[in-house]
Amino acid sequence: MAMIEVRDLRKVYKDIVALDGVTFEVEKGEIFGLLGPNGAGKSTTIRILTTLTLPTSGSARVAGYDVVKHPMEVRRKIGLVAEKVILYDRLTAWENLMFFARLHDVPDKEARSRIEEGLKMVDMWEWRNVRVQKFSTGMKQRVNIVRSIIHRPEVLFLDEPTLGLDPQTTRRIREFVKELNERGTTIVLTTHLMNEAELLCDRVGIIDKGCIVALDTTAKLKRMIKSSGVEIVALEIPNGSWQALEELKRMPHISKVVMVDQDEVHVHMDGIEDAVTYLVNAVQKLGLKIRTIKSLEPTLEDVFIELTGHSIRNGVK
Amino acid sequence: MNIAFNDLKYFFRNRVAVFAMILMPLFMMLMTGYIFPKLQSTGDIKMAFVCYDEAFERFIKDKVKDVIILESIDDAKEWLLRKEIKAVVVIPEGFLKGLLRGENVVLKVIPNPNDPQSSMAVSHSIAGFAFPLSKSRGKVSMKLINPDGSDFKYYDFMAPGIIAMVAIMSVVNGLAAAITRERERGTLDGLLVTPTPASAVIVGKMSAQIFRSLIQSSLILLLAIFLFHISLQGSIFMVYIMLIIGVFSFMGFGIIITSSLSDQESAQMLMGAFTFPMMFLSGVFFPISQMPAFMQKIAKVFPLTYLADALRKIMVLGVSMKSVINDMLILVAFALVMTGIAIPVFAKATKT
Ligand SMILES: Nc1ncnc2c1ncn2[C@@H]1O[C@H](COP(=O)(O)OP(=O)(O)O)[C@@H](O)[C@H]1O
Ligand SMILES: [Mg+2]
Repeated sequence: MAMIEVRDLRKVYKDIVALDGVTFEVEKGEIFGLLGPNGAGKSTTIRILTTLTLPTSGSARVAGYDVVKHPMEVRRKIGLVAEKVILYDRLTAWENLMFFARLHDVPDKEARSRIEEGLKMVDMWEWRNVRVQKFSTGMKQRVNIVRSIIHRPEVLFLDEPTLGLDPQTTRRIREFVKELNERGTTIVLTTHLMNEAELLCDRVGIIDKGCIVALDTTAKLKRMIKSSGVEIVALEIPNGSWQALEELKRMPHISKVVMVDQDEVHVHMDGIEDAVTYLVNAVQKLGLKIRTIKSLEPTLEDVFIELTGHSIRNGVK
Repeated sequence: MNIAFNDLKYFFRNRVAVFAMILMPLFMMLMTGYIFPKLQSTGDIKMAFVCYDEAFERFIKDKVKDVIILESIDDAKEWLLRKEIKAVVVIPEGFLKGLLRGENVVLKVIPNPNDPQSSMAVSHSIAGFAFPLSKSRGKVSMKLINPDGSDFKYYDFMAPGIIAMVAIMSVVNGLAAAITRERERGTLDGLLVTPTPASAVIVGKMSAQIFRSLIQSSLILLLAIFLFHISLQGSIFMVYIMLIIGVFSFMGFGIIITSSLSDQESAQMLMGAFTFPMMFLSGVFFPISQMPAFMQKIAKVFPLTYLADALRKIMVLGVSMKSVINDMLILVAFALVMTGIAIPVFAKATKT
């Protein structure tokens, strides 16, 4: 039986459709990622699965329990690292963890040993008696994760757990998530970072505008692009050649032209044998100068662009 | 300039805020307009006598048909509680004789703590009534007292009301702020993903606020006793019981407002639009009995009215539980209904 079953979930806020029929399953022991741009509906999905929000329609089961009909049972099985750090900043790390352990009915003695183990694991043991308000964002997030697993949940939900953290803390948190998973915790995390999804997740659901547009292992998602005959070529050109790019878009075999930087574009082509040669010819016809050109292995980003028609960062075509 | 304009625009886009802004001054005007003129009118004020002067008793019974003569001060307390009379006039022994001889005599008046202003009017009417009796220049002077004989001060009327008001207001605002803060910081979600029911979250928050408010009320009480020497006739224990019930009666209201309005500014404004009239209509500053009839009716919907009334009876008249049981039951009913509505409203609001 799947650990999480989501069926045709819809959530409408007044006139905003946040989720428009989301369906997926997460197996026990998996790290599942929801990848999508801002406003895609990642947090909304997490909030429904953690019983914090009611769906407008559709159903969701977590650890065998329906989130609407049996929220209490679901809550006993899950842990949550939300977008905002769930800690009281005038309490110390220790007081916070003790408070949440008690809310989960963890016996005090057991709680003490779990807190010690957890804080040592994230290197925050020396800071246990310091108020949370004195911590940096990264330190808070480390304690926050210890809090989320204080009751040893079967499923841990993490909503953009590395957002706004420095690279070092980001790396540590990813390692920690992997370690938890190896010990048997099923993990659902959201991110808008391609590499995070690639690094961490067994399977990734790509979500955009409230819909899951693709769902598979990262390797398969990338292979999917290749087998559909799409070639991606990176092109470095001088600044300010917008006009020419517009024309490039209209040429045969070229499906998408995506600006990835000031002077770099990714060109998606299909139905063509030698993509690089074709592109060089095409660009020369337009009188554009090329600094560099190279064929790319598709990344998740390209998968996203191919599927949604826009970039994950800002939705620019 | 730009900033000012932007601020105003920001403010006016909030409909609740604008509503409150217009409502409040209007209200102030109405209140002062209606109540102050009333203060000067003597009107028809009911009073009773406790007579230690038989001559006067005979005299007054003869003069006034349905005069109320009471047996003792304890009797007087009962009558004051029932609010049928505005004041009890204590006639000392030898009062009439003294008056006839042209001596200066002192009348003691126990005002109804709910309406000390009226007792002033009582004094005047007694003076006018007694004047023809004094053949020479004998003077009748008045002294306002508490049932135990100590001096009654206007502050004795105010203090219980103010304590009631501060307790209720601070708890409602404190609770609303605590919930809003937790919601904005995200810790409320943290509580709600644990197997803690929303009702337990609410009850926990309420208890914390009640505790805080009791500390605060104690400070005010101490201040009032030691700095302003207010009288505290009744038991302090009763005062606390009433405060707890009173505060509980209104807390649910705060939760309902904060839960149903997600925007903090609107919530505060709406709360203000309700609590502000409550302050003036609940008899904390102005006696309810002096208000026009429709305002008296409005006063009945505010729990503060009952809490202030009960505290006044306990603190000034020193009555027992029995005499405030009505106020108490009404407050308990308020508490149950409000909390009963608040818990599901809160639970629902947290799920959107
Ligand atoms: N409480 C809410 N009220 C109204 N709209 C909301 C609310 N929460 C989210 N939304 C809207 O739903 C959509 C999805 O939001 P969200 O799930 O937070 O996206 P993500 O986490 O992927 O960035 C957005 O358009 C957002 O504006
Ligand atoms: Mg989000």
